[in-house]
Amino acid sequence: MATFVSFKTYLDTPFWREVNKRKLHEWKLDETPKPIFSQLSLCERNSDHCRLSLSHDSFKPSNGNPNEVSISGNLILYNTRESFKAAATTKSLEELMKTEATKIWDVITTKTWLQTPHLLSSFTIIAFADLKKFHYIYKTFIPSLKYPKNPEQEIPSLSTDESSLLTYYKRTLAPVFLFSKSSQEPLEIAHLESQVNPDDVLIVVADPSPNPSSAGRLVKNVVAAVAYLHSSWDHCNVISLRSSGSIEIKYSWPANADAVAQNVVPQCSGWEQHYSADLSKQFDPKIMMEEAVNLNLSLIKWRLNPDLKLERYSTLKVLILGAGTIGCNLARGIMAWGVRHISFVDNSFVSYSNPVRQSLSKFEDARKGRGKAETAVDALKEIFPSVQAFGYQLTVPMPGHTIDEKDEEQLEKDVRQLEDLIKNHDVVFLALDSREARWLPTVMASIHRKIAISVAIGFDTYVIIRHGIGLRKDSLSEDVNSEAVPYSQLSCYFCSDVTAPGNSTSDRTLDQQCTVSRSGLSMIASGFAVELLASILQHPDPLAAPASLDDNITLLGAVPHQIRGFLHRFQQIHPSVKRFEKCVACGDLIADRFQKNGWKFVRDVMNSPKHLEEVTGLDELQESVEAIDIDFDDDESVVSV
Amino acid sequence: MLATLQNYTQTAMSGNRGGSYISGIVPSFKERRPFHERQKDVEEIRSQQPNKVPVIIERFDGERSLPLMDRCKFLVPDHITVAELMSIVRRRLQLHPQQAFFLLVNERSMVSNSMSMSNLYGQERDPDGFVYMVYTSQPAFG
Amino acid sequence: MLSEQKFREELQKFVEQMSQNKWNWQLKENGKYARETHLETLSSGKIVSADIHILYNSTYQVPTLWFNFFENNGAPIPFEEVVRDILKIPESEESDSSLRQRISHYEHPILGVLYYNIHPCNTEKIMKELKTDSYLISWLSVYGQQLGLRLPDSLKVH
Repeated sequence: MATFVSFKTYLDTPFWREVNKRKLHEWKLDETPKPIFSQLSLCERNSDHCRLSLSHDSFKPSNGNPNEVSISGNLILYNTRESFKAAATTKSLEELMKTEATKIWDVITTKTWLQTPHLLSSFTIIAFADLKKFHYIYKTFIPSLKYPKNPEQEIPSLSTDESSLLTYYKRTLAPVFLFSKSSQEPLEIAHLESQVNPDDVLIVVADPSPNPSSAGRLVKNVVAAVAYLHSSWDHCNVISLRSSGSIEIKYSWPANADAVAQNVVPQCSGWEQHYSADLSKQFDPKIMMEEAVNLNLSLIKWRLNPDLKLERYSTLKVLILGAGTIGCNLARGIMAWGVRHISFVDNSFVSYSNPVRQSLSKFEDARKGRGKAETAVDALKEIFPSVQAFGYQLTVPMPGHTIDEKDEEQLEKDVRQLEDLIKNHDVVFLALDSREARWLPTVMASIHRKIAISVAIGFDTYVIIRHGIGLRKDSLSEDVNSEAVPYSQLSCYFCSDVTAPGNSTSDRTLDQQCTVSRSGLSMIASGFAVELLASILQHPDPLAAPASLDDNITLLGAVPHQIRGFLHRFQQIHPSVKRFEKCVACGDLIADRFQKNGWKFVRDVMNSPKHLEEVTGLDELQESVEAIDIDFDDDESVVSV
Repeated sequence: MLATLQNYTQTAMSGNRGGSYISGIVPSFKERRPFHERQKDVEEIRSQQPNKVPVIIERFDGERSLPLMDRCKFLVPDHITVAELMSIVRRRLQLHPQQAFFLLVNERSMVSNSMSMSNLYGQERDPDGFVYMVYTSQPAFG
Repeated sequence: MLSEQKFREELQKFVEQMSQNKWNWQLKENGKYARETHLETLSSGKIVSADIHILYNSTYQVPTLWFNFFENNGAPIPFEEVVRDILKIPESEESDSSLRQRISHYEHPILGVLYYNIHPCNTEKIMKELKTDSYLISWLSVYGQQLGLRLPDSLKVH
């Protein structure tokens, strides 16, 4: 039994990209067959098939080269999945097969092939491209005539030196030609007609078969043509020509056993199975961006430290309180680390002075007076469509901002909403615009064991503090004397002072009320805050990361407790401070009160911040020192030099 | 020079509006007194009042809004805590309860409010025998 | 360093030489770049097609290697798989694999599709060390080797 190596189609992404382009701009709804051209490699080794490969440049013929043989075909691109399916029914496939087979048979019976042997080979691809989802399906057909029936093959050793054949091929690129044994030279295939004895000639076919004992399907049609041309012959000698390792095959068949009438087209085969491809990652812009962003982060991992746990950022939920200069820059920074879930809380609206400083707002937002939280959310989505961004227009209840009874219902809702938000996120950045606004979130984050990071700026100073995790009383069992202060013992934003926060806006003058700071400051402060978080999350146990300047403590280096910067000197310090048991925000007594009385406690504090000093005992502390004199005996003062 | 200084402190002392600072014009305590004199001061006072800790408290040179104090040399009872010292300083500066500040020790450390002055002294005292602190406002904007 | 003109000349010579050695490199876009594709069998048994290009980088003035691997349906093999199964770059931190440092995934300058690329920043330094008759053959024997490209024996450089 003669065997012929079948084809397998190999496509690539540039091919489909070209199909996208042509369909969109050129072909549109036209389903007529489009010519395509393939170059079959004569050097293929690593395969069990003849490779029909197509790429972006397959839509026009290319200059051949001696290591390839050309084959041309058609692409039929259907407009709908249904019309593709209709074309792929067994009946339709058979019809197409018959049409193509007939074309080749005509070429054979009219002897046209003797002048243009490349017409013996062709291929057809039926396909459908979904240009919204970028899904493709296709099926290739390469007609191979079943004629003559049941040929046998024998593989003698090469009876001639392949180099002269290859030289001839290189010169002419003739896919089929003749080698005359008598004159020992290659000839055009047209000379076959005048041959009498099949053993006088070798029929040379440029063959992409990788198999050392089998020719490829291309050869089958040539044998059919030869058998038809010389109906008295019962065998022929073929050279399956490859770049190296050509083989000689003697094909034989029962002569005249099925005399075929000229107009009866032989049976045909040659359908490959159908294949589909999902290239949304390559062509869907949203997905492409996701892939690109993820790959960029993976490269950080690859190049710097393969142990970096990037998933700790991509699975993180971050709440940013305050969508101002700090909040906007924080969001951009964490998004670049791969954080995908970002929520903003802000009660105010974009004003004309904001866009130049608040990197998620624009002139139009100020003109329309849009809410800052929703503006920030929209901006993030414009930057990176795959981000999960949420905005909440909510006023954080503040000590010293008094409240009427009629507003208590709303207060209860606001307190609950804020607490829920804090509970539902992993990290809380406190980037609000006043001391008092930072109070309640500090209390809540402490109770709910969240990573809370305060970021605050002055005119030319900044501070970043990571608050101690959880309640002070839960951490006392830890080693208080160790060099590095444990995470649970770290101070919060309020631990270093002794008075309650109150309404800082009511009796300020105008220049004290406006937030005025050096322009680069918020980027500096936000940048450090983002990187502090990034480092904390690379600690083996982030919620237990002690304050440490040892750069081996996490994969990214040190994790200080506080970062304080003074821009007038371009100086930065990294203090480490233990939390204060009488703190008005993270102290146990306050946590207790809040857990017992909830929003009512908040109401009381709003109406009278002194209440915080009463609960913590700071009022007594202040009284107790009233009598203490700390003056030196002498007159030393700034004025006496 | 003295006139400029007096002028400056007048403005600085007149209420809570700090205005600008001019670094270098108001010399710090260390700049005004040579080491041996400071050391002598401490030796004397420690022998007279061993239960008190000599502390220099000055305004941070980058500070813009907090006022200057009338004096910088203090003797603090060693049993009181940093929190209590903060309270005393607040009174001296006549600060509004809304104005938050913090103390920097040796211009680079901060200590917990719960720490006692004696512990602080042990940990942070200067070779000349004083403990040096500066005060500056806590940033609050976002 | 190679001027673009010189690169094109070398490329033509290279393609000629490869052709004689039965390795099917093709000149594309009027000699602007060269391309070679072949099939590879992965350890899993899967057969993928490898697509290798030599392009000129005008910033560094050296040739660069661009490559990709596709399933037969045209879908590219995912990055992790390429690195693990095809290039076989080990994951350990201590690995000396400078290749890992220099592979990036960028839009191919001509095809507009993401391809892998070995960054050319080091090329000039490396090429200075090599004595070469054919610039591109020497260059490819360094860079192609890391991709598992087998140079025909007759062309191997020391």
